[in-house]
Amino acid sequence: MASPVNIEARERELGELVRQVFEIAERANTLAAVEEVRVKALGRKGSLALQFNLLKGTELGPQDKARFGQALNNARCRIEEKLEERRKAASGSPALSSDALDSTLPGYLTETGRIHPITQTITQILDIFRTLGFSPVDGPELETEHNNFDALNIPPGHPSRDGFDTFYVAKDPQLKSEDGTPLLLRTHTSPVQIRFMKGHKPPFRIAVPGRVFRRDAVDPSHCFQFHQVEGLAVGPGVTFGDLKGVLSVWARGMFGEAARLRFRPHYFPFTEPSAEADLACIFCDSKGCRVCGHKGWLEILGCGMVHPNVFKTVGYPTATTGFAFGVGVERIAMLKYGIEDIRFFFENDMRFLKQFP
Amino acid sequence: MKYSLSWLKEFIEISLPPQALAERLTLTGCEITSLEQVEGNWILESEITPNRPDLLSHLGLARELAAALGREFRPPRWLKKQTRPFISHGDPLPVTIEDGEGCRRYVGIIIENARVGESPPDIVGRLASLGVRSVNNVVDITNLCMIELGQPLHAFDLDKVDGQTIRVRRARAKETVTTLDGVLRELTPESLVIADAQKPVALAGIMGGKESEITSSTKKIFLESAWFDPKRIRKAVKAARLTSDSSYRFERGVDLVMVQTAAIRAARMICLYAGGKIHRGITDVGNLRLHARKIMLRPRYAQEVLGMRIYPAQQKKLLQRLGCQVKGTSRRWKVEPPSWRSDLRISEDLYEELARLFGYDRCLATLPPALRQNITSKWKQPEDLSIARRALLHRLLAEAGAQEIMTYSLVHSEDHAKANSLSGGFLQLAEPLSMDQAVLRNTLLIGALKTVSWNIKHKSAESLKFFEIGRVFRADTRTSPPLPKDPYLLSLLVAGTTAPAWGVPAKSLGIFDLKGILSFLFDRLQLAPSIDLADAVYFGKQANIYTLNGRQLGAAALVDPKILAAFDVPVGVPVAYAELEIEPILEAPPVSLKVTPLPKVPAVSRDLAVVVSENSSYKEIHSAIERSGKPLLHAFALFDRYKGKQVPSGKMSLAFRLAFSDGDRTLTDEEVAAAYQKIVQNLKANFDAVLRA
Repeated sequence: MASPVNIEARERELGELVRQVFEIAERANTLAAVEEVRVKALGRKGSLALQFNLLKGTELGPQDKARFGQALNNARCRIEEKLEERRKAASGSPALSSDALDSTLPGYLTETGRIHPITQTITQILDIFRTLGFSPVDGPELETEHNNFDALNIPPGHPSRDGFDTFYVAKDPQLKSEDGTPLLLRTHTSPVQIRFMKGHKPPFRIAVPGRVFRRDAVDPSHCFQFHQVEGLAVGPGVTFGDLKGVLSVWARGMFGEAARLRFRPHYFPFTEPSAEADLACIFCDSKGCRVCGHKGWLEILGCGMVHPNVFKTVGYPTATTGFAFGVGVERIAMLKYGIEDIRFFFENDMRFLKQFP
Repeated sequence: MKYSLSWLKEFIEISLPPQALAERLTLTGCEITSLEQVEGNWILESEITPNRPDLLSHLGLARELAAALGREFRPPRWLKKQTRPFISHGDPLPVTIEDGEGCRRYVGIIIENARVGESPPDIVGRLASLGVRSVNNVVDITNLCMIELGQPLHAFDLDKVDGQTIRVRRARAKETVTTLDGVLRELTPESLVIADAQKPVALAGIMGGKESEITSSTKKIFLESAWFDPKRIRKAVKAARLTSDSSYRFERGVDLVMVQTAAIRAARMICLYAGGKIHRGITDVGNLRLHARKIMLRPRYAQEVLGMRIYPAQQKKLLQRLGCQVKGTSRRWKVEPPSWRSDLRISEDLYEELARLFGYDRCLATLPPALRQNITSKWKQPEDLSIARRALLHRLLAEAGAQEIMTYSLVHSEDHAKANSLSGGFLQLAEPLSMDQAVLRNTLLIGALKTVSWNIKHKSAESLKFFEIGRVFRADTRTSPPLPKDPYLLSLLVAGTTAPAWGVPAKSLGIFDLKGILSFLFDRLQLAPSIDLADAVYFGKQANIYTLNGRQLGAAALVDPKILAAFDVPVGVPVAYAELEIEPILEAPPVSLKVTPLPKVPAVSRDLAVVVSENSSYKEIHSAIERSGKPLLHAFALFDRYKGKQVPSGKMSLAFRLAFSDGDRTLTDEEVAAAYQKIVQNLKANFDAVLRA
């Protein structure tokens, strides 16, 4: 019977052999030299072949034989790889074959792709809201007038419709929308609230990312398409204070621990009470600078308690409470990264896109 | 709207510095967007939200300030001494309201012998500082009163009013009126007009008529002050495509009680500045019933919803500051808002009033109950898996070396024709801003090619490898009638060369780099779509058609040079493009991952080089090797493909690296040789293959 000491000693011996071959191989800078190493190590009478003879004898038990066989195979593979590497080095580019390789030469870059800054910003926004229990939900960009306006307490003839310069789709008698009202490109992500609430009962918390459209001429700060992330939390005991809390936690996650929000009364037809939130300017610490227009505050989102008429439209009981908010993604990204022209996002100049992690 | 601080001070004592005042207004909901000093006076500018038409006047903002600051509102004597509402004194002119819904109140005053001329400098200056151009003393006073009290007024030359009578009615079809801006307008029954015995003399609430305009020869002035229905005015505004400071206020709603007060104020000022005399009192007609609105407010509930500790007695005080009548008990207030606050209708409206006067900043920030409760709470987590799976696609494609791009959803009206993508049909905008953004994209190819030409033009990158996941817009013709749809597509584009590096030659990128990224993607998703060759898809010939579980995903091909030229891609730049539906990918049942244990014996590797006809299909050779190699061949890959001097013409050599294994068992040389031979024989039989030495 072979002793366990025996097999382990053999393996150590083998390891030492491989190390020695590597050492010699490392000095082989010509194809002939590499071939010489190969013959010595792997040739029929080479050092490894001698080790293979062991497998034929009876010195090792069947289990040890299998184990040593694998070790041998492994050793042969490693040596072959090393020799291949040396062969390439010897026959390759002049720089590599020279004896003294200048290791200050630049490393090879692997060309990889990146995620668009808008997608990155949306992901970051959603990640923070996810920790606050908001699950992401998607909805269509092609909407009906009913979901985009009427159901959100913006009836026809309401002056606040003027605030949403809307792209309507040209009427086509062949084409009917799902509820029969005119088709449009959604002006905000809020219609997804309606779609979601029609299929779900509270309590719930959702976050809705997506592209929206306004009939705006294109300039450095306006574009006819941009992105929003909408939030909606509905359930018993949800308060205006909770809305402030959730958004404050989000702002800290997004802009750092020092981020401060200020809430200001505002008007949205689909919330009551409504508010706009301003971020204490992150560039001047609210002292007033060019970015914040010397106001010290950056307007970043709109929010409020969901208007009872919205709950009525989706058939919820009258005592339902909830809050909603909407964040402009381009605005956040432009602030965070100091981007001065919204068109950069959609021109896709690689010199711009490659600046993001 | 612009406000003058000195004018506001006529209604309320203000000791705060202007900056503090602006801040206070902003924080109570009336955002001051600019504050500047003009000739010793401060001018504030604010964008008034559509729910607060009562703030579109100095009186209104002063009232708001009084409530916000907790100061007393001190109306001047002429305002305090308001005539009791709805009383006609005498009857100077017969006024008939034919559309009672469109006009709830109409007040008219006749002023005789006024001298129309220039306004005194103080009036001109006051208007100019607020950006209003002086016209003449009469018109200036109507503007002044509107800015002061929020009530639009209009003055007619009464001698031009036929029959000395006024009718408030809908326009008749084909009736016309030439408005003050000199435009002849054809009217529809949608519009409300002020008419004399014969014809319309003004577009009610929007603009007066040219014919009855006040001129230097006007002797008799008819001054109008009215309450027009916001919806009616809005319809007329849309029909006429005309707005004015007056229609802006009527559309949002004016104060029914102010109608007569403003008329009297303006008439007296005209007499003061232009001379003349009020003739035979005041006409005041309409539906003279005020609807008192009562709103129930449960103070406890308000506290709960707001998360703010505002005690019932404090709530009452705050509401009274706004001019509300508050009755009832501290368990339930009965609140009657003032006539100018038509926006206050339900208890939630009052919550906002309470919160903003108390201060949004005094509301404690908390977290929703679900986050305070234990995890067994009933809060559900509805998860939209499509978002997570799309995010995975983004990540994998970036890992595979493709840059994510985002292009415009709206494209030029001719772009689809240029991209040869007309067959699916596309949706158009009703009123595009420009032809560049007139139609909704039905393919991502347009944006992708624009990205290529942009980057080449700006020399932004040598290698272009990018993808987009975005919605396209189509009519889904599978249903009847066709339903509009906006499915997500995935586009992938490869062009250019790899960036050169020292010792590594640059390589041009093409269709196989594109297919490689797709194989990587499907491999990672553990999906195995079938790929078939088709002659052409809309963007290119010799396309690889990807099909998954019987659903066609899309195609990958070199883009037709004609299409490239149409999008200004320079000649000679080959562009490989793929466009796939992602719905079937997202909907594919998720694979539950089971790890295969690693074999204890390394696989035996053998190289195989065969010479076959250059017309052989790789796909067929591939599956032949796959089939004939079973069961010992566990992996193989093509590592060389050669045509040239070394092989006969019309032939090509394909070299494969084959890996044989059988689990944990060490294969004998004989076994490997047999398996290898089986593959060789098969290739010889089916492809006339010759082993290459």
